[in-house]
Amino acid sequence: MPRGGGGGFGRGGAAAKGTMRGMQLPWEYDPDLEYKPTPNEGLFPKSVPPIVKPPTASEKRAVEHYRNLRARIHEGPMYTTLDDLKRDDEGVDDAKAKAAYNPFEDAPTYSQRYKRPRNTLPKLSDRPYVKEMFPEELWSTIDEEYDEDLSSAVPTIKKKKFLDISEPKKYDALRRFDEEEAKKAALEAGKAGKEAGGEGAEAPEESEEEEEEAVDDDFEEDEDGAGADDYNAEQYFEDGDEGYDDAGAGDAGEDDGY
Amino acid sequence: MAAQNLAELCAVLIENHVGDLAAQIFTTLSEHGRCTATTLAGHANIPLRRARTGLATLIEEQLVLHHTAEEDAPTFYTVSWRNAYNLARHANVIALVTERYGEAAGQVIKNILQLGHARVGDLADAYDLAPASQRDSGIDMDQATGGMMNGTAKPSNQHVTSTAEFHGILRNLLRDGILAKVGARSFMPVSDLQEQLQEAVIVDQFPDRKVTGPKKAREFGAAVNELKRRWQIDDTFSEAVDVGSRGAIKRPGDHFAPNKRAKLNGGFANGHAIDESSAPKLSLDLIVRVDFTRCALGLRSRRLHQLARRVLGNATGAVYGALLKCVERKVRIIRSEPAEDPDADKILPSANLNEIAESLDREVDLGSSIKGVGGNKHLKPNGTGMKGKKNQVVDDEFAEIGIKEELSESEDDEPTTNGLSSYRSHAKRVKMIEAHLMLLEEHPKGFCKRARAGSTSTDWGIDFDDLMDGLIEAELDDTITAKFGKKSLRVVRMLRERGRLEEKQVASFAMMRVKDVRSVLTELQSEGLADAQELPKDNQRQPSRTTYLWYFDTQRAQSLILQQTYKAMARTLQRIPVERDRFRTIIEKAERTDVKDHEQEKLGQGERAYLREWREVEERLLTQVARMDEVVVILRDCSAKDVSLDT
Repeated sequence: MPRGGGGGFGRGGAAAKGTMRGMQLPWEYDPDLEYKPTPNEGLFPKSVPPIVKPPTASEKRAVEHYRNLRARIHEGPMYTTLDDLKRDDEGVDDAKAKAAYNPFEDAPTYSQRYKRPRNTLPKLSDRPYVKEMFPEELWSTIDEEYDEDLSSAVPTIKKKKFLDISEPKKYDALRRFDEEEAKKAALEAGKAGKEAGGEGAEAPEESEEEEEEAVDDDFEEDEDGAGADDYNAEQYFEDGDEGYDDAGAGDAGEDDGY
Repeated sequence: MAAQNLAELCAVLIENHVGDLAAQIFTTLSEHGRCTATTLAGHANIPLRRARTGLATLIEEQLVLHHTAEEDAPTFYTVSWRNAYNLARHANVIALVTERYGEAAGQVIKNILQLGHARVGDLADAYDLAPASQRDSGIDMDQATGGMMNGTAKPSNQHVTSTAEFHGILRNLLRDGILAKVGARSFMPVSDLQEQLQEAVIVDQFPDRKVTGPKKAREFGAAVNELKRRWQIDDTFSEAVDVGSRGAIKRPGDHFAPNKRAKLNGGFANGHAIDESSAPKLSLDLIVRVDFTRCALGLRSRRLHQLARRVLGNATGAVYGALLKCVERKVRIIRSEPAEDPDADKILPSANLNEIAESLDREVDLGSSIKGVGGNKHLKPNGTGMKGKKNQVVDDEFAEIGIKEELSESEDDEPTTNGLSSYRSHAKRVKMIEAHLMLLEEHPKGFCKRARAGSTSTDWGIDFDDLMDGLIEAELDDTITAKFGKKSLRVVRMLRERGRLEEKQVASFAMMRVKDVRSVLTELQSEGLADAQELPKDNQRQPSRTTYLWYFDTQRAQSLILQQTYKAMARTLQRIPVERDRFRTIIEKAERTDVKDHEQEKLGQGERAYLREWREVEERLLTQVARMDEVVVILRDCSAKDVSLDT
């Protein structure tokens, strides 16, 4: 609701305060009211965004659980990502693909072998479903072996399917960065409390070794499996490759860090 | 049709959770409304096969509901807003379950959330088959166990080790309603369900298909409600129906499970009779999902518990937590239906003092916060007023049952299991609990009440409707303060207390200058929180001859802030990929299959620091989403007035 006039008073002269051409203004006249244009602050005036409180311990735990769940889902067969090109159609024609080619990142490189594979279509066939919960027209979608004509006949013996419930550790590998940080904080606190420089320097190395050992333990079975398979060329190559990487990265890391 | 903000939020959530394809289909479906798979594929401009696959994933999570009217009729798909929003609640739900039932239950819940819904048999198979992975999963969870849970909670095992334990966990969760049974009706849109109900009643009781006249209409309504209730009972889990005794298979048609059972028990003839008879198994055909309504109830309890602890201290908070826990088991629905007779006394969900004492942690020092009541170390009361009086009462009652205070004090130090003394200490504990409850009752928020007013019964109830109204107002006040400052809050609270006021009255009540009030009110009006009603004094409707009455509509503000919260959640979630892009190279490197699990060796110091930074950024954003979800619990799920999702 506008209260008080903007510009229009001047014309009536001094006597015309609160009136216009001799007529009473239709709103309450407030002689004290002034028009104060705010100085122009530019297109983006300065504003101080409110800063949220840092997460509490329980909130951190909740987020941790959520991330864990999300990591599992994203690694699972149902999660899909589409390239922008593929959004409108399944097939990408050559011209489009060429136009979108990025010479810096799209050139095939050796390390792409290790890239995390992405789904563009959910893999529905790997797990059992409760068919009755789906509409009939989707039955053939969720179960490739389902045949409408044979459905009433004797059920064939199929490969048994299992729900994918995987261990969370493998999936949320990044989690250990949080832990590592916590450990480091604890270590630093300990260091401050002690005094001896030598001990302080040794401590982190020890912890790192422990961690490596723990990792080794985890994948013992995997390694055994690989060892038995001498004729797997890829495996052979990977092993050698890893050895080099280990030496280089490990050295550099230790030099930098401690 | 839900609002635009919710639609946007849901699309973001689904993209996060199920992926791009599903999000695309969901968005198309929400824009075009109910349609068939073919139409959908046409609208979304994707091949039918893709559309079907996407729909299957969405149905798996119940984000899309479907209905086929009859055999060979086309199947129609509809989005489910409530289920789609629930994706945002995952963090809170897992945290809640882990806190209450332990890590193992948390794992089970996580798996079920991941799958959407699952048959118990299939779940059990998956668990049995993955003993190695189970062992791994436990390694780094140790420090995550919460130290603050109540004593009655189970000792938190890290993971499920035996079939019996697995079934035990599921049964616990089902009994408390965290998990719900899934029937074919869970996948049907509400409107179709209602139609089917009415149709069933008409076929059954009105053969001439005519429901005319008020009498018949009333009969019809009653019959529909009756059938609805029967269906609801059918659809809820009950120990009698759904527990397959000794793990026997109910339906012979199922060709999965018998093999499994045979394998399990093949080694020893009488195996399961010995170690599993104590815990009867669930029927393997039972299909379960997470019941989010119920989880909202749990979140509400947690919120109230925190509030009580904040305003009345730890011991009283703990007592209130125990009361809430007892009451929660008895409340089936989160919102009470409007009573038919407004004058009738409301029946409050209540719990007996003894129940509260049982579920309260033994470790809580009840005597510490009320002066003189329990007081191992506290002296005789010399205070006046309420506390003194209450203490006097307690003392008298102790005297009546022949307990001297000194005696009970000494018993406190050395607990004996002697019958009489244990009775005495129990009686004393109950007294102290009652004192705490009285404290809660006297608080202006009215945390609890005696179940029957005026009497000295030992049943205590909670009037959730009143309490929640208070909580909603507090939530609105918080938001208004944060956004507009204290002056606006003062004006808003006054308008709420006094109803419609003229500008000058507002100024005088708020003890502010009229000019200041004007700017505050205008700001609130432009944000849609306050509004003015025009009362012209004559026919001309001249502004100068008109009175403006300002008012604040709580319900409107509530839905406004709810919508803004949706929007903020969507923006926060959309921020994550933007932030992620900043760290893209390092994240991609860390996700490479050869680097993963070997980060220590393969990433440099700087890279690790960078990754850590990213983790922190994401953590802060996700925390904020979880916090906003708690606001939604209060403003939407706990409020009887909000109907934005009742379609």
